[in-house]
Amino acid sequence: MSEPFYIARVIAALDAAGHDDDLLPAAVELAGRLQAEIAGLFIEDENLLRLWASPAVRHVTLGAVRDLPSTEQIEAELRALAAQAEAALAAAATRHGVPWSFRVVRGRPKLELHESTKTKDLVVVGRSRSLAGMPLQLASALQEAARDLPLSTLHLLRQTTLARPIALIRPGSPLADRALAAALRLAGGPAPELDVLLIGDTTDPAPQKTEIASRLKALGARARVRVMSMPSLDELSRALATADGDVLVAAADIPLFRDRDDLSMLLERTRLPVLIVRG
Amino acid sequence: MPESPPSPSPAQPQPAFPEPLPASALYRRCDPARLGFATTAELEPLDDAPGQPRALEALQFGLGIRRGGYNLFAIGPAGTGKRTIIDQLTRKRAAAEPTPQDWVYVYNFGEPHKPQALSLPAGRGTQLRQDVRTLIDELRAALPAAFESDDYRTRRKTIDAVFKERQDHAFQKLQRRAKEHDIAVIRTPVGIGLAPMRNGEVMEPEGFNKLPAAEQERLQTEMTAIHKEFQAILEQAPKWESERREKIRELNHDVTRFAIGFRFDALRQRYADLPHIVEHLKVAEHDLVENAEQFLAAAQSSASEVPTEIVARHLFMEQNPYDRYQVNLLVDHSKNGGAPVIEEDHPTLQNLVGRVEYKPQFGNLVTDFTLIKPGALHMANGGYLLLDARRVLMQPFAWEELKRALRASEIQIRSVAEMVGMLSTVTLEPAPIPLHVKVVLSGDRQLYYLLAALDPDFQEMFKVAADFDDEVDRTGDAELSYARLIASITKREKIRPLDCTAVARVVEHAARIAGDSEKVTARLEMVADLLREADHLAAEAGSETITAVDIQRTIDLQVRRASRVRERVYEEIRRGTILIDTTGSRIGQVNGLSVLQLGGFMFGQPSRISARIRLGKGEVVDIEREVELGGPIHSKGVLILAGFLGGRFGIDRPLALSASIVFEQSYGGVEGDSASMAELCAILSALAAAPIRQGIAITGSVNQNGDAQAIGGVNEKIEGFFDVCRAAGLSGEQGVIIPASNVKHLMLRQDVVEAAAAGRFRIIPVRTVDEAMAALTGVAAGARDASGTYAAGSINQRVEAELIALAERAKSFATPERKANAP
Repeated sequence: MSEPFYIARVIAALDAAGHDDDLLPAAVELAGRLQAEIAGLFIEDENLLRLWASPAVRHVTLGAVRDLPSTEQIEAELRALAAQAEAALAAAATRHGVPWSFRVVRGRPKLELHESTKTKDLVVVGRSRSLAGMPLQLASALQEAARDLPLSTLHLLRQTTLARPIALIRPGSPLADRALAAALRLAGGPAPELDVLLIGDTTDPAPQKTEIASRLKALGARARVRVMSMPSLDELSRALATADGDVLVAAADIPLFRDRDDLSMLLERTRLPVLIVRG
Repeated sequence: MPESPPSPSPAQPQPAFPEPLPASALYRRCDPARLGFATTAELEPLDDAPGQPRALEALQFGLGIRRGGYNLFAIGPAGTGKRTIIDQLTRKRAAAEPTPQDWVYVYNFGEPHKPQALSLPAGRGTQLRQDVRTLIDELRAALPAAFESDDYRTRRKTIDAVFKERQDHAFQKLQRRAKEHDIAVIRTPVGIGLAPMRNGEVMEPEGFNKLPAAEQERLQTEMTAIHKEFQAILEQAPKWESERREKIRELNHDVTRFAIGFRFDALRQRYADLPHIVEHLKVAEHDLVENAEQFLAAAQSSASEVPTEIVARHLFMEQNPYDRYQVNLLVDHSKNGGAPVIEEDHPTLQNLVGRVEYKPQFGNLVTDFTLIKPGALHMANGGYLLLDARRVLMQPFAWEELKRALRASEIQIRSVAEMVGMLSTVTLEPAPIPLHVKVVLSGDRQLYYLLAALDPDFQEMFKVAADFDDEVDRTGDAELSYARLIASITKREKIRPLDCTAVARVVEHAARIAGDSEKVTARLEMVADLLREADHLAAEAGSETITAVDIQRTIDLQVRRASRVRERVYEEIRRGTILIDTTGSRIGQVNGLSVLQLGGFMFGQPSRISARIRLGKGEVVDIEREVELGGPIHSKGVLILAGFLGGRFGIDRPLALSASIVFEQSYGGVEGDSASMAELCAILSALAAAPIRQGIAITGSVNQNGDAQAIGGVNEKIEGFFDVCRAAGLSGEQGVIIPASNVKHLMLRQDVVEAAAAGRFRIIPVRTVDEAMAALTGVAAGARDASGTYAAGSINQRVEAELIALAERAKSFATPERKANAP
């Protein structure tokens, strides 16, 4: 495999809604591991700014009711959040010796994310969707946008260790090798260890299992390969719960993910960080 | 001119010159032929304590009586074998008594810091522990399996789905409604914002303001309604989540109950005859069900279903949540038959009452009921506890806590730190365990009497004293019994057998240790030492049996090893540094005898005692007492001899003398009254101007009537003077005067006996000081005749004459004016 998973830049995408403190250090650490640059991208959702200017705005919060802020107050708050994020990124990047940059853009998250990324980028985005600490699920505009990106995307939820990957691939699919390569790069070291879950669609998956195991062995990797024949989302979730890993590296072309909602469901169910590998 | 004698009285019998003892009286032999065996191998070992019937009766009584406070104190010096006897008697009795109950500590689910103590019939404690271990092992597998089952997952998913659907339904419904009414729903940093929307974008203020008033009104009204509903959902969410968790909790309980219920039922069935165990198992089962989440945490600490705080507790506090169901088997009698007999050699507080141990965890010391360890009282509960009294008293708080446990009839585990109020960490308060134990203390007499005098609790709690004699009679069959005792020691110590001559020599030596020809020592440890050392010599000589030669050589070696100081003292006498005359005669000077004890070795030392007389007021000055070198008993002896002088010679006139007596070249303390007869003789010699033969030493105390009284260490004293005389050369005139009442104590060394048999050394028993003076001076002491007068030239006549002369001189000094007025 001649570096099928080359990443030139890791983009840590942030917004004001789904802010996650663990995201920046994890993204910097990942960039260092992938020998890539780290770029912070703070998107000020223009809808959010317009919201406060609207004469008809309503705000739903838990706890004490605050007076509605002015647009100026919101802008100042966003600037403060961006500055805070930049400082955190700079500190982490300096610590890891990773080249870094930071941008603040204003616009629609989906559009800005598309315009700010290139082919060899990997986007890291937070996955926290709880509202004011409540278990209610409401994705931010940025999180919605990240799911539709054509790039590899890492969805983080608090946990930041990314050393023991579980690769989830469909043998022979266009993205299988790329996902395996991504998993190997995350595992790192001369003798990387990883779990591989093969989503088989043949009656006899043994040859595929043997073939993958042999290829990984040839690369010096110690892999534990398991086969799941067209699992349901529940079965996959259960397998992940018992697997010995701390990050799921999933090829985006797995049939299970054809339905956008299934990917969302998987992200809701597993506590592991999920790297969706795209072409 | 002497004054008239005391009023006439019947004539007194004339004191005779005492005769020396025959050699046969100096040593009582044990006849090997009369023992009736060739070697001790033929003898039945004696496990009894010969000659200690009183102590044995007391032990039997004390061990037998089952009443509070009837604990025992075995009194006697170390090495008398009392511990062995106590051990044998208690074990014999204990073997026939019922085996007491096992005790376990278990978790107290109501008050975790107060572990519960439960009793079970002997052997069932270990069974319960094993049963619970097996149960826990099963649960380790069964509980995770139950939670992994499809049934559980389905029910769990159903709960989640129901609640998610309720939440989603509410949200989605509102989101749809908002969309239908062109209202944007946007996440903000702290909530949800609602605003009018056009083409998917939040409407600019200008755009909104351009809307018709009716449209603005409609949007405002709709947003207000949606806002209220969103707010209601948000406020409802915690309740929904709480309901969801409660449902999951109930599900977890159901699953846990199903997984463990039949196992606990089976266990309870096994202990149906023990209601308190059944009750504990019920509580344990209930607790296990209530804490099902902890076991999920143990099984899958990363599982999202488990509350974070439980995972944290599992990881950092209670590494194994099953631990609290364990059984800490404190006392296990599964392998014991009968009541326990426990001997605690190191009776510290914790070794007696048990302790709570701690283990380090994340820099702290923590404990739990599994770390409760038993003490000797636990192990002996229902049986007997044997303790050395001195060792108990030497350990801080041990004595007080032992008494407290006996008084309260319960064992309460408490640490020293707790008792002195220095415990700063959280600890356990294990429930006390009822105590039924017979404690047998052993110690020496001094300790017993001190405790009896100073500790008001002592006699209430140790009502039975088993008093072991230091020595036992050597009469009748006693020598054969002693031989069997020797046989017991050889068997126990794996010592080669003794032939009958060796046994006879051991018996004789035992009499010498006892210091009495009619007794043998009961300090068997000394006899055992003698046998061990003789066995070593016999082994070196390649002998199969120990003979009298081996025994004698052992004794000689023991003496040699210990006699460095004795040799130095005798050497200084020989060299003339210490002045002791063994020939010639001196007025007012006599050889007294004292005993020095260094470690376990005693030897006699001659001391020159001198007396000087001068005009005075009837006092006897004890120089030792004046310089505070004399002990109270010595001073008492001196006062007694002064009383004798007054009684015999001062009835009709004052004693106008002042006598001073001293132990020459004595620089240490002098104690005891065994030199009082010698001191009296020195004074009488000085008064009568009668020279005392320096070849004869004298020992014995005297009463106010002049009777000689027995003293201790007579053998060592005689041998000491013999050694000094032999070094100077035995003339046949030398010897030692002893009280006649000490003759039975004589067990003299063989060389002394031989010298006496050959007429080269004499042991002269006396009954009175008069006999002693006759033997010392060769002059009859004299007795008053019918007229109250002593025979002319006798010692007493000369003493009386001198005292009259002194009185006259004193009288003349008392009337100086008559002289002054004389013409």
